[in-house]
Amino acid sequence: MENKKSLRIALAGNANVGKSVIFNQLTGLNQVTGNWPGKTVERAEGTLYYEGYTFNVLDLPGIYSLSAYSLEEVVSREYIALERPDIIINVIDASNLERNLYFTVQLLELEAPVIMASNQMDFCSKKGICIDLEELSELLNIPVVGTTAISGMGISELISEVVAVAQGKTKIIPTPPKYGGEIEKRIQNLKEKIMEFLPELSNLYPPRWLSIKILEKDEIIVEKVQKHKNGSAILELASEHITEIEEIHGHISSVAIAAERYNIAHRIAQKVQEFVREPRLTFEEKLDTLTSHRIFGYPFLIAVMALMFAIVFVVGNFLIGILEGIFYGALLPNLEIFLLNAGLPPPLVSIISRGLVEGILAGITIALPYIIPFYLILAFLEDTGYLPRAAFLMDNIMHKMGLHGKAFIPLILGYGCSVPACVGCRIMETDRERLIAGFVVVLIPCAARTVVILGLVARFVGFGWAMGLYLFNLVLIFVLGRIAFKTVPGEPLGLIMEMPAYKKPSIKVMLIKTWNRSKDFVYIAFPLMVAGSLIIELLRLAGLLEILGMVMSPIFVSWLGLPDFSAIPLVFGILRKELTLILLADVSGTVNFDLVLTPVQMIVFSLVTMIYVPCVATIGALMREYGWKRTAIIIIADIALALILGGVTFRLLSLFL
Amino acid sequence: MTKIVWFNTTGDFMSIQKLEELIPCFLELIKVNGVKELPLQRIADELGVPISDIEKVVAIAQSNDLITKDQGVLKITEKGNEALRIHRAKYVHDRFIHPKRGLHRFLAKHKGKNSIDWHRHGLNNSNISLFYQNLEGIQGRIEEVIPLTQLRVGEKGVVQFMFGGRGKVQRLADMGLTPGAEIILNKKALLRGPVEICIRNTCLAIGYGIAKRIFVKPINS
Repeated sequence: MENKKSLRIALAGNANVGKSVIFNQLTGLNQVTGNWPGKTVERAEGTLYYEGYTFNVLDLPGIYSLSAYSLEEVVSREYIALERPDIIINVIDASNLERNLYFTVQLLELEAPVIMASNQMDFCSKKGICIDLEELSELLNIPVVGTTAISGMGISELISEVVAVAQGKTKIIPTPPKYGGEIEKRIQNLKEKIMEFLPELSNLYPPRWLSIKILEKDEIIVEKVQKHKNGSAILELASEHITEIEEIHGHISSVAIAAERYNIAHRIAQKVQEFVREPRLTFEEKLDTLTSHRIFGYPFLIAVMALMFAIVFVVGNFLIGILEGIFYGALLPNLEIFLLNAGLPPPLVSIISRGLVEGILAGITIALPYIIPFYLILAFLEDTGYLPRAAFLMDNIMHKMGLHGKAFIPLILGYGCSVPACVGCRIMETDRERLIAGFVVVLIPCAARTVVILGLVARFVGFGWAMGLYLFNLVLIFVLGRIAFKTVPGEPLGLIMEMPAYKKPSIKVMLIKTWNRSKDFVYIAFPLMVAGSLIIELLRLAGLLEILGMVMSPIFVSWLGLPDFSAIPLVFGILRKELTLILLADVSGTVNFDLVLTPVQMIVFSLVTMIYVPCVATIGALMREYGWKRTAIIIIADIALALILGGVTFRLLSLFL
Repeated sequence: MTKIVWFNTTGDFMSIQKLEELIPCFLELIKVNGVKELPLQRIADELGVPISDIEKVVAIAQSNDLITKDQGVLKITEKGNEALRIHRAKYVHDRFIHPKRGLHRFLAKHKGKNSIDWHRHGLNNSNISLFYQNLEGIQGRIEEVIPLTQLRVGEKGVVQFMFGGRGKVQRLADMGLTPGAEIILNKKALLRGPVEICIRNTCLAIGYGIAKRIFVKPINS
């Protein structure tokens, strides 16, 4: 490679090996990390400046193979083959060498310039495995660097290796490993024919790789070959070879070739890794046995979820109590007096204090105390690796909705925020499953709706009633999911998911993640809150609030049984769901909601907030994922559902309460 | 050699009424072990029938061109291999892919109605025929093969073959489930829940629907 000053680097490897952690270490960015496969759903880009070099780093999604069966795989291999990044850092999980080498073999087949980052060396030694990195480097004929990305070990060595390649000190000559005799013979034969008859295609892709893909009956490559004028002759020859391979091996050619690759990976792994002692994982294993136990796993799952909400509620209430005392007891009245004394006209004071300042204060006092503990617990669950266990346990039930266990992960994320949950639905394999998952995920009460449920129902009606709302929500999701499953055409898919080992989460990583998510929340939510408060204050001063309330009163007062001022918070709640509670405080003029609302009204208010249209941010995410037509259907369905259920609940509860 | 229970193609215990029914089992034993290593007496023991019956079976098989005697050694002919393949396909189909229940079972048992080709499998024809063809390549007796879901917790097995569309089979192969790979069944979830297996030093969760179409041969340790 000539001495270039700007290089493109791609990070590639299996899911959940630590690519995102290495990416963050290299670029100083904050790509989402966690201990479950499939977090990186969009490719992330960042830049690293080092010794006068500019490295543009790209984080590819985690994949297990470079075949044509999922979109991520096709995108990744097209990127590697056609855009030809200068260096590919193949991040592997050293404690799981064989399966990771299977992917490395495929990268080498693509004749990509690979540097291997043998990650998770700490976990590897914990498992009692010792790896001879030098021998591995020799066998694969590529540079290998041992890293423990989470603690930053090996990252500087990795960078200097990259620089050495950039300076041309290290030359990488990718050498695809040889297969077993019978298949290798046919690959070589086909390769010669391809080089002779398809020169244009051999310039784009390595010819040996092309012949392997044709023998695997890779649909995309076969289609490309067919377009060339000598293509059909090549495919004819290939189909002869395929029949022969299938006769010899007794399996379809792609499986026979996969088996060959695994043989290579197995041979290399056997040579370089040594099991030096018994794994020191007794605690992790016991935890795994308990948490995914066929019977005890379920009470544990319920306990985890209940504990999560209880902690959020207790910590949140405690913080709210303190903050309310400071802001509403001391700060706000003094501020008003101060502004009036400064000679400002009373309407302006009212706009500043009740619109501007109270909008911010309400966000700080009502929303953040619930949201920060929530994000912290979610980060803990993500980083330990509990989510895949929950998915394993729930697979059975999720199948009743036509989804499989993996869909439970976006569902749990949905309790945090609907936006990442919508994007997270991409871990589902097919379009059909993504749609069903997206439909149910937006119904999950996110942290913002939790603010409303906890801040209104749990505080003023009772914690049991709030839990009842959650339970009702789960039943509703199950029923709607089942209806969606029966109406959306297509066959349901099965679960194939890697189960990562339990890991001790790093407090630092958890805090950083919580900080980033809370920051995002503040950036997006606070301007909307302030704007919402301001608009309402202006409307109130202009006397328009009553008119708006009157227009909406047939729905809100007669059907839902809510007071007329509740129309405004619910309408503006579309901006942010927690805004409903903050605006409710605005329009009713108090945060002691039990003075202005009856328990039934609080429950109905929370229920409607929980179900009706997701907030604008979620609508945006839905539009991007599913297009405007499907988004419109989801929105209309949600509004109708919220109104129907709200009215029915009001009438039913009025009988008892 | 371990004693294996024989099933006929409807999934019942084999009640040998006609000697012809013994032929596939007999062919399986020859295919796997060769007759030199397996005297007729042992075949008779294995199948639990008197040796005179086995001699008759040999005669029938020979007269149907299923086996030939070459210098005193019994060999399976081309036709015999085809018969064996059909037997294996029927065995796997009727026992695992579409076990007959209710009316279907009754019809098969009492009216002799065969239903090998009027089911839907959700697969295209070439995939199905390739799958059944590939059954010929299985090492060892077909009756030893069970679906992954029937493996006991903690038991080891060797992957034999997978039944499913190209995409699914490829995906499983990419994750390390290639024929010949050794697996341990770690966990089974409740009811028809997923199974967790360890393969090549990694743990995978596999849904019930997929796991029941992965066929393994248990290793008795």
